[in-house]
Amino acid sequence: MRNGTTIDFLQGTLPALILKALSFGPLHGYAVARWVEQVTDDELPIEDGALYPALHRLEARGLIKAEWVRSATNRRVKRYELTADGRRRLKAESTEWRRFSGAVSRVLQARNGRRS
Amino acid sequence: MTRPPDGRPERSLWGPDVPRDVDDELADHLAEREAELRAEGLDPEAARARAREKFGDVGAVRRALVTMDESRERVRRRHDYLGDLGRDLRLAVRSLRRSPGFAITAFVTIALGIGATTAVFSIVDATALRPLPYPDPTRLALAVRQMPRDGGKTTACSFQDYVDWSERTDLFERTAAAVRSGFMIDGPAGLEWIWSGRVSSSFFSVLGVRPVLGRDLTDEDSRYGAARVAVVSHDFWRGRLGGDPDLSRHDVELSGQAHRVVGVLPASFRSMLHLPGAADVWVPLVVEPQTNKTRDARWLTFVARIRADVPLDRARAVIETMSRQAYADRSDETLRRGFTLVSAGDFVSGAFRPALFTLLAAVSCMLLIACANVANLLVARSLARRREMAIRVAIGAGRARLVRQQLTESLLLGLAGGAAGLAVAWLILPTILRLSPATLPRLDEAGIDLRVLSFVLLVSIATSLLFGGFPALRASRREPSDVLGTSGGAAGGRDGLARRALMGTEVAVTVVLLAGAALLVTSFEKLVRVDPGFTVDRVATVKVVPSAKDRAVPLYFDDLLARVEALPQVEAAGLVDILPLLPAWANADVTARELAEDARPDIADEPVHYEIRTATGGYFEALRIPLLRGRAFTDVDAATPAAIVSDDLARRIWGNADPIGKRLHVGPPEQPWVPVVGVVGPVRHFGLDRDVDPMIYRAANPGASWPSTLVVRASGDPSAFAPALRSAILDLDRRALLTTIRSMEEVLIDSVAERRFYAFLLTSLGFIAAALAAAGLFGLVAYLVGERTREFGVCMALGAKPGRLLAGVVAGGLKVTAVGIVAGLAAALAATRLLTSLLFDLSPTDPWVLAGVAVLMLAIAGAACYVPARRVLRVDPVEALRAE
Repeated sequence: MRNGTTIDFLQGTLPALILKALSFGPLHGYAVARWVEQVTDDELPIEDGALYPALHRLEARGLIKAEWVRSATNRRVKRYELTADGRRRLKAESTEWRRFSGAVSRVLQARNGRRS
Repeated sequence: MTRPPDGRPERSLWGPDVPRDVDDELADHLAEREAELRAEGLDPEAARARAREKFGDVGAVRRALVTMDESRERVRRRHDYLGDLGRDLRLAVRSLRRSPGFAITAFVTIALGIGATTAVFSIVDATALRPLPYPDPTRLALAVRQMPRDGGKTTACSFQDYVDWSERTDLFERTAAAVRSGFMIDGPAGLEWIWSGRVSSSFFSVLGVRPVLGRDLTDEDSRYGAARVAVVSHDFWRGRLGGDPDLSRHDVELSGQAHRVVGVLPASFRSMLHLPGAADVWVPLVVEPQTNKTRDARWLTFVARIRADVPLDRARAVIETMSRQAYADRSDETLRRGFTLVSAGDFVSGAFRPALFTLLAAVSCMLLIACANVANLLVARSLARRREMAIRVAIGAGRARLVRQQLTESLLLGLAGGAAGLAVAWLILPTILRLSPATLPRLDEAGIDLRVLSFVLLVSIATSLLFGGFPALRASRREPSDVLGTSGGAAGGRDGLARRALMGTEVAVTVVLLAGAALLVTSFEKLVRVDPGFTVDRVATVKVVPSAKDRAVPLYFDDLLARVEALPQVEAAGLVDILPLLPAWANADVTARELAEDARPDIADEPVHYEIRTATGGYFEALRIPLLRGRAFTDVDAATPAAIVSDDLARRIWGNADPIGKRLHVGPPEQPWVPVVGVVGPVRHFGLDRDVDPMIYRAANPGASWPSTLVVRASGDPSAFAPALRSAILDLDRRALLTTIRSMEEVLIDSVAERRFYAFLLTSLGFIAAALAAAGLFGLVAYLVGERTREFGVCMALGAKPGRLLAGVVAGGLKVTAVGIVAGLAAALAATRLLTSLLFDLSPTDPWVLAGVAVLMLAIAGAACYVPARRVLRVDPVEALRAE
């Protein structure tokens, strides 16, 4: 288990991760969780339980939409899909993240402590 | 909608089942996680536990999701609802604009119906429903007892009774006594009469009223010999005292005696407990030492505030027991029954409630008829719109949605009609109030206020649902395939039946209303034809208070009579102390033996109740009360007492023996003997609907107060004669005080004013209802003819005579009417019983009246059916066939 700061940090980016997961096609909640696990090699310790509130909040904001379908085993399954708004949002988040992480990287790799 | 294996629908009528959705989603996740872990080799138990562990706190997440989603659902529903409402309203407005004929007819019908109902409600509310305008009014009570000979109730009790009851502090928080009084006061137009009350110092505190300026009356003011003070009404203070805040500068002269004004009552104060109208001035009740305090002198009204912990019934029982014991030895049976306690509200409104509620019921019937008419219109209209409805259903509009749309339209009509109705009520209320009898209490409070506004809102909504509900449900039920294929439905069928049933109901209700109106009118006609025993034709009356005092008074009145008789138009003139047909009395109850010499032995111990009047000879002549035996009073009788009895009393006391010369004790048995000098015809002294009242007339006597109401019969119109009369009186004594000169005819009309009012209102309602029913019939027949035009064309092409077809249509309409009339008469037989107390000499199921109403309704219906049916005559068979 990673320490607390990592987890807090992650909660903020959860929505972005979900949006990305869905950008490849509609998925149900469990599939999203599995995809994130696989892509990150289970490096990010997201509790399954944190996922669902994030999914519902995204739905409430209209970035994703949900549909109830029947699975192969005739079970009700809630499937989420990215909306146009969601797609735009994902792009913005990615750009934002690149700038942010780039800046942090530069800071951490700085060789001198003085301002030029 | 597909259904899962467990059978429950996925969406409820109100939207998604949030908890279920959340459960399904989470269960699904956990199941898949479990399956994956089992595939990795864990046993089912461990897999389940691990899946849950990986998830986190399932319960907390579930709760958070449910809360979030439910609140989102609520917002979405509200948004949808408002959006739908807006859409429905716009649709309703557009749809109404497309059929202006329907919209206007319905709107006007509803406006009239609600307007009339609101006006009547406003009156009934003010008079009978609203609580009295005092703090905690349910605890106020008055003592009343029954008067003999169906005289109604009186509050008059003796001083001793007041003292006895006031001692019961276990029952009453506070008690008060009051008596009606009046004064002559100087006004802008000369001297005038104002009503006032003589009240104990506790009176205003019993009612819970405090003066807004100055002080209340105190015990000190009621002491015999104390300085004269008065408390005045707000209007009086503003009008006559100029609203001056410094009261110490103001004395008012009341009937010649100066009173210091010490207090001003609030503007909202109304006393209705013992006065017919508003009182302007209140003076302390002073019980002088020589006042008769025995139980024989009954003149006070007892008002009390019952203690909060004492129920009215208990206080009532105690008062009844006490007064029965006190009056146990009286000869008058109604006195022996003693006094009872009634709540102030019942006292003021009780007698009027049955009639007023009947009126409210009648106006509600009229509203029902209006609703039925509009419902009929809606059914006809929905028929015309059935293609539109069917298309809507076919493209997926839910039935609930359609019903809601129709109801929105109805509500729009109903609320708009209600608003217009409010305006109608506001307009007609003053007119109705002007016509209403002065005896109805608290009429000045009738108006459009918050209670009435709430009533209008409720009635508008109820009306909308009533006329709109049924047609809306029917319209949306039709299956699309029924209608889209055909080019028009049959004229009969379910819709025709519905309209005919509605029409029949309208006719039935109209018949009930007309029956009630006819009964009241007939009864009123019978009443005014009753001979009261005196004439009211061309008789003027006026009360005169001369400035002369004591011994000079009889001389003054002698002079006055001479002058008046000398006027050219005057046929006869006389004086009396109390006029007939006024709610004022002076009476006595004794046994026959105590009353008269030589009374018939078989009735010697029977109680005799009679009215006492003091009069001069000219009185009988002026009112044309026939002299049957002996003579009328002359000047001689002023010196030695004389009496005249009414014929009915004479026969009762002495049978067929000649009463002239026999002697009576007039009043209490201790009075000296008075000989009978004449017998006059019987009179109904208190009203046309009352029995004949036994009368004993006393000759005017200088020892007692002289009768001061002048009664004059003239040869022309009394109102033309009034100025001459007034100047004759004032010429003799410039400082005499006169009341307004009234004709006896006016007095008579006032005495029947209530019955006339109810008859008038019910008749108006009946006619409006009949007009509405006629309009409804007209519409129905016109519609039926329109629908069957093709059919008629075919018949006529095959040789049928147009006249026969016309007769057939009218007969159809009359059939519906006949059913309605029969139903209406049956209902009337039950309903008119409510009117029994208002009917004079008429049974509520009088067959002639009911038959008359049936014939009237048939005639109205016949006309209403005939006119639109004439269209049949204009049908062109060729055109009709071609249209196929």
